[in-house]
Amino acid sequence: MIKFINAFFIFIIATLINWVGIELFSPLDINIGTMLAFSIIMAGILNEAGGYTFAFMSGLFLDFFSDVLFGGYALVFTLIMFIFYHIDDKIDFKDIGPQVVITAALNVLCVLLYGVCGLIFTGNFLWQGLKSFAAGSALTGLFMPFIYIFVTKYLIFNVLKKNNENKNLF
Amino acid sequence: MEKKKKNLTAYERGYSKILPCVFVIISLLIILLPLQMPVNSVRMLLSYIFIPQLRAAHGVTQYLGGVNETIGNLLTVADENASLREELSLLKIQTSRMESLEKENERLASALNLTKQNKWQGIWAKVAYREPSRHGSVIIDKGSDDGVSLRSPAMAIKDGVAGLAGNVIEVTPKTAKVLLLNDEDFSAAARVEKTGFEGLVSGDGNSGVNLKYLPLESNISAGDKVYTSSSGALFPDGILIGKISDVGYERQKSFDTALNPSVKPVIEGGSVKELFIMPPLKNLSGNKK
Repeated sequence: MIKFINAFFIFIIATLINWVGIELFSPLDINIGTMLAFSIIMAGILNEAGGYTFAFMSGLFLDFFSDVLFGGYALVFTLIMFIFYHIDDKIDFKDIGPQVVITAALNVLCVLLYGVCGLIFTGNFLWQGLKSFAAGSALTGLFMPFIYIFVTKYLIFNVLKKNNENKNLF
Repeated sequence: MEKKKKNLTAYERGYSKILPCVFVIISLLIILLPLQMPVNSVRMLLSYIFIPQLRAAHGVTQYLGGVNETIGNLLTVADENASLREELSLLKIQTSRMESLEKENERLASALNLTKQNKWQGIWAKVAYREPSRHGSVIIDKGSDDGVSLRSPAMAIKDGVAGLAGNVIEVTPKTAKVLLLNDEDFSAAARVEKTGFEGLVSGDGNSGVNLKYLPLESNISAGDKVYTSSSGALFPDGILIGKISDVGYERQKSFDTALNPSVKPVIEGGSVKELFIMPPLKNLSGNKK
């Protein structure tokens, strides 16, 4: 139950930061993948059930505030988590380098997959522009270490930290 | 992660394979099913629920914008400070110059008034140079081209009172040197106004002058005015030199044949800024009104 409350609390904070990111970067036509970054971090903290659920809910949240292809982000986020759980054992996510590279790469994949979903289900490739694609992915990767430190140091309840010690938290 | 996977139970391994499939299927159903109406309802509901968060996000953005502006201001404040300091220095210099000009204006105004009231004719000159180590002479900015001649008497104004300042001892076309009355080499025939007795005024090397060779029966007292006398053939008659400050009876010895009082001059050499240069005495007769 505590784990659920903590995850919900982090979800709320994630949505808040997502809106801050939108307000700050949307005038520059840049879309930051804040929810994706939080989903990746939570995938390492929670078990696979929790990780998939968090990612699905994050995607669904974005879908509710998107005008096109309702359910697209939920699908893409689930697929991204599937990929992440398969490469998770080959990387050390505690280091800043892998955090930046993997997050940027997954954001690139997320944008492309969402575009493909649009192509399949609406007949149009959902493309936000090269600037948003490149700069958004790079900035998401660069912000990832800060979000990671913020979540692991301040947002995770102490009880969960102890529970996760034997689960090799990231 | 291998370690994590090894720790998973058979149940966990099972749903870890099924779960993504379940979410993918749900997502596909959401995409494919005609859920526009309920989605719109939920979207409206969520909009209400997330209003505080939207406001908080807006507040954070405003705050971050404010921080950005503050940092920008801090970066420009150093430059602004430097330019304001420079401006302040310039204003101080200008104020100082204004004050100087105001004082000069006052002096010249009183001098002009005095020139109108008196019979003296001549030209005004500014002190251009003063030797720091010697206060007995000054260089003025007028020379022979302006009508300044050797032995020209020089007057000055202080507090609206005109007084003898010295005489010209060197002349060049553009400048002239004036020996001030407090210099030891300066001397001029003088008379005490009250009694009419005459003596010789000479500088004491400091800021005062002495009146020498005054007859013992002069019957002078402190405060008596001393004027130039035309008997010296150097200065016109009637220019105020100063007032007797110390008669000197106590310094007088039994064998002295003359009084030697101290005179406090009206014009102190160190404070002279403008001088009124008159033609030498031999030319005065033609210039008098």
